[in-house]
Amino acid sequence: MDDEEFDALFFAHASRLVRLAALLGAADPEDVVQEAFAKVYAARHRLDDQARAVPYLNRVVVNEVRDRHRRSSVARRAAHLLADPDHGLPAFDIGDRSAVLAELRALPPRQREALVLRYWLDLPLVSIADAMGVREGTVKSQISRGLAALSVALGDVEEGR
Amino acid sequence: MRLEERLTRELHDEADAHAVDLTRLYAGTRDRIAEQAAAPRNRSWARPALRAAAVAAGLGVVVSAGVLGVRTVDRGEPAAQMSEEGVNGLFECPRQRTIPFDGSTDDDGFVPSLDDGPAAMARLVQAPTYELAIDGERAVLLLGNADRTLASRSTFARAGDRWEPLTATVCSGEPSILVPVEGAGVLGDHGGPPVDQQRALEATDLGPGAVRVDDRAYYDASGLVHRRSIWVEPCGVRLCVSAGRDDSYARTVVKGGTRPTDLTPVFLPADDMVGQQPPFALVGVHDPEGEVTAVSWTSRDGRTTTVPPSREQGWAGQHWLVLAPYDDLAGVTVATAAGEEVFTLADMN
Repeated sequence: MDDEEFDALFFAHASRLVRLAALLGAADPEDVVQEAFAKVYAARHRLDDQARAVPYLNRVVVNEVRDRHRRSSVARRAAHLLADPDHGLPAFDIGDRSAVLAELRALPPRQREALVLRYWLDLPLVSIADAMGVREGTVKSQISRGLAALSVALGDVEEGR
Repeated sequence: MRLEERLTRELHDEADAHAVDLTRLYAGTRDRIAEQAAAPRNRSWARPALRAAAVAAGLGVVVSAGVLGVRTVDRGEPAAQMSEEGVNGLFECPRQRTIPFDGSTDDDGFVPSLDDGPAAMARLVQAPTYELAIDGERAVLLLGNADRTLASRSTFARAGDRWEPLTATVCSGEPSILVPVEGAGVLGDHGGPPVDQQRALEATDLGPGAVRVDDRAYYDASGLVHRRSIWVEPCGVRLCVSAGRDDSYARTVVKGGTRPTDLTPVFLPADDMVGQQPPFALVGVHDPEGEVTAVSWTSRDGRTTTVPPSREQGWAGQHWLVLAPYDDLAGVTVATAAGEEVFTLADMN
C-alpha cells in the first residue's frame, strides 16, 4: 500500500471508525482511530489491498477500545444513574435520551461489541468474528445473550413506569 | 417496535450525531505516524526462548529442574504488572480443561492467537503476565495472573508465516468456575486476589446507597482469576442488582411484590459460564409494601432453610437474597398474612 492508497483508505473509512469507537464506548474515539491508522501505516507492506486493510482496521479499533477500557480506572455507569458528569464520561454521552443505549453500555464488553458490529455496522457474522478475534459461534452467542439481557432490562424498566 | 429494530435505529441516530472533523483527524494521524517513525523500535516478539518445566512438558525438551534458558519477556503493554520472572510453569488451580483446536469441539470461549504477537493476545484477554517460548516449529504461550500464577498454556505449530493453535489448557474451579473458598454457600465477602482490586465494582460506580452483598473470586474463560462483587441498591419501587467488575458488569432488577426474581444469570459472568450449570441459584424477593412475613427455601430432600430479611436505612421495605445450591433448590416459599406460596425457578420473574 503506497501513501496515495493509504490516504484513500483513510478518507473512506475514518469517519465510520470514529463513530464505531464512540459506540463501543471509547472516551476519545478520534484518538483511537488515529492510533488504528498509525498501526495500519506501520503494517502497510503486509496489507496489499483494501480488502485486507478494512477488516484489519475494524479489528484494531475493537481491540484498542477494549484495551483502553481495561486501563481506565473510572467505571462506566448506566446513563440514568449518572449524577456527576465529570467522572470521565466517554464522548458517547447518552444523557437521558435512550434507555436502550444506556443498557447497552452496561453490557459485558463482548456482548456490546457484537451488538454494535451487528446492528450498526451490519457486518456478517464472519466479519464480526474477525473484528472481535473470536469464532462465529461465539459471535452468535454474544449477540443472543446481549439481546436477551437488553430485553430483560428494558422490559423491567418499561413495566415499572 | 422490535428490540432489534429499536437498537438499530438508536445506534444509527447516535452515530450520526457524532460529527467528525476529517481534516483535523488526518493531520493528527499523519503527525502520529511521523512520531512513531522517529521513535526507536523497542522489541521484536519472536526471539526464540526456552524455559524449563512449561516448555519441557509441551515440546519434549528435557531440561534439569532449576536450569532456566533464555526467556522472552516483553515489557511492552500490558506492562504495569509485568513480572521480570515471567509466568510460573505449573498450574496451581484445582482443575484444568484442555481445548483442542482440531475442529472436534465448539468451545470457543478462549481462542489463543499469535497473529499479532503475545502481548496483543495477553491484552485481548486482559492477562497481566505472559511468556512465549519458541522452539523451531512449535511455540508455547503462557498467560498468567499478576502474581504470575499460570492461567493457561497454549501450544502452536508453525504454518507458513502464521502460528496455528493446537491446544489450550486452561485453569478452572472444581466443579464450577468458582475459586474454592470456605463458606461458599453463604453470601458475603469471600475476598479475592488483591491483584484484581483495581477493577473491583465499587459503590462509587453505582447509585447512592448501594450495598455490597457478595464478593468472591472465579476463573474466567481464559483461566484468569477475577473478583466479582454483587451490589444491591434501591431503584424507585424496585431493587437493582449489579454484579461484575468496574469495566464490565450486569444489572438487573427485582420487582416489588411476593413473586421472587431469579438472579442466577447475574451471579457469575455469562460469558464464562457457557455450557456449564451454575453452582448456585440466587433469588431475590423485594417487599416495599411490607406484605411478606417470611422467606425460606426448600431442598430436594425436604429441608427448609429460613432466610433473614435485610432492611437498609432509607430504603423502602425489606428484601431477601436466597443463595442455594442450584441442583438442590426445590423451591422458594414466600409467606404473607394470606398464606404461603412456593415458587420454583421456572415460576419466578
